[in-house]
Amino acid sequence: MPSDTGQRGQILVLAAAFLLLGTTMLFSLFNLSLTVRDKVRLQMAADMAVLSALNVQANGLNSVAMGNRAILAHDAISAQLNALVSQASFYRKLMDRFRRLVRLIPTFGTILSQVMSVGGKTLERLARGITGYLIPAGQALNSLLIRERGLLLATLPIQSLRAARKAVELSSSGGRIWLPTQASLLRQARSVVRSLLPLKDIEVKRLIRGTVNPRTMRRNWDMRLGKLSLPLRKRGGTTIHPSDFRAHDVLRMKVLRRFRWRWRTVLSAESRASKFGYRSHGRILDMSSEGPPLSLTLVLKSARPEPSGGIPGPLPAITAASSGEIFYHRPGRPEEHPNTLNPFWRTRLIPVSDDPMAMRVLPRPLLKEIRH
Amino acid sequence: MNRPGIKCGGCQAGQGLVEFLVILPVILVLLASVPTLLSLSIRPLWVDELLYARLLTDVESRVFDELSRGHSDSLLPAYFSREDVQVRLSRQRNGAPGFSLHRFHPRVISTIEAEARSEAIVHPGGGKMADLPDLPAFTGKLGLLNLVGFRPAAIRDELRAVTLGGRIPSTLRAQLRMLGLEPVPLNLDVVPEQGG
Repeated sequence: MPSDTGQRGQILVLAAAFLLLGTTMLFSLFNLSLTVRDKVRLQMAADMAVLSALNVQANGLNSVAMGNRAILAHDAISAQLNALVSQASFYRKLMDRFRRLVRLIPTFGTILSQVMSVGGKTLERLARGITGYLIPAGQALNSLLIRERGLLLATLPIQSLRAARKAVELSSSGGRIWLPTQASLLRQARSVVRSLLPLKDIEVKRLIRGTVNPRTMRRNWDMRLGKLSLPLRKRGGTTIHPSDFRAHDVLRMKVLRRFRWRWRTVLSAESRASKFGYRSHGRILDMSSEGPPLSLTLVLKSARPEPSGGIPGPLPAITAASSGEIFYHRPGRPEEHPNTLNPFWRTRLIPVSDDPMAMRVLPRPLLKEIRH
Repeated sequence: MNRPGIKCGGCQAGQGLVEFLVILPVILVLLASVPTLLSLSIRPLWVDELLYARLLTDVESRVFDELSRGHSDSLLPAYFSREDVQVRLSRQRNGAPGFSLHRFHPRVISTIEAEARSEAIVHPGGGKMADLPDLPAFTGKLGLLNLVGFRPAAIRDELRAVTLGGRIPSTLRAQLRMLGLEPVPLNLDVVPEQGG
């Protein structure tokens, strides 16, 4: 017959077993919380890396846009200055004609005629001087901008990768960008660069026409006396040639010839920008109609450090994936299509499942893991 | 005859049988499942599931809230509003690290105010963003977040800084303007045709 003392030890075995189980569960819970913390940090690092890489690209596209606008502005300034020369030449010639009439005025006629002559010539010389200095300066700045743009685009893929790595390094999550996604980042950035193609001449002309002031493109006036139209009119404007601007100003008078009223040119002036050192319209880059892949997915992997209070032993690496995209949004004009003439490129994070490239790049277990 | 307090041999045998058939197998199964439970608990897959189900501790749930918001409205505000930025007039390196774009971006947009505002956000669970321990800073560290996107009003100033029109003396600029010439021609509405 067993004694009471012999039965007491039974619970000790059970308690020890449950104590072991409880402790194990407690430690595993602790480990779990550490894993969760690491995972959250790694996810934030992945988000930072994606946005940083895309921000470099968006900044690059915005810089290209600013460069395009600067090149376009220089072309427009050249056209305007060329028109100024034509106008100055026209008014100098007009004053020369009037001088003959002014001379007939007694006493002051000669002096006034001299003033008109000197004034007209000075005006024209000034216009030619300014144009002769500013057009070559604009051309030099254009070539500088184009070279700078070339350098920017050549380094854009590697700068994107550097930015992503820097973001991961700064977030101190201990993660590394998974190599296949580094390669896909370089490919994506390179395709963004390759999608920028020079605009066709006809488009460049349209852009220049829309940028110059209206007076450059059209300088017309008619002589009127009240409601009565006099038979004298001036026509002027600028025509955009493939590598040049031609400005002209013409004064016409209606004359009776062969029993019909016809317009006859009595005064004309012309100027070409190429005579002042203008070589060609600037190369303006725009995104091709196909459009590059503007979304990007990066995967970060982190070999977890051994927790100080947890269960010792090797722990599996944690992984985080993040996707983002570059997009174009002009404030106040959401309907404007993406282009590299306006610097309104921005970045945002998107669900990984929305990035078509992610489906090809990410390993299947990770894809199963991602829930957005 | 059974006396109170004294068990019979048959009852003790039954107790041993119950222990042998029920309790011991349960204990054995539990002990055997410890490594499995342990390996499952530290698997990232579970972490994701828990993150998704929000079965986390208080602080981490707040982090998760911030993170989930981040996916719809970026944690790194790429485009600040006018109220969020200070524009300092100074030449500084911008663009990508190690690559100067100062020609294009002579101005620096500081995000100090935006950071301060972001850190002052009170989370639903209580506490502020600034109070969260050891979180990676998410703005201002890289200098890459600056100048992503322009405000339309600032474009003319930026353009003046990089074009000829901004480099000629102001008196000449004023005289050209008097003659009807725009020294910094800009028309944002002129864009290439789609697919051109």
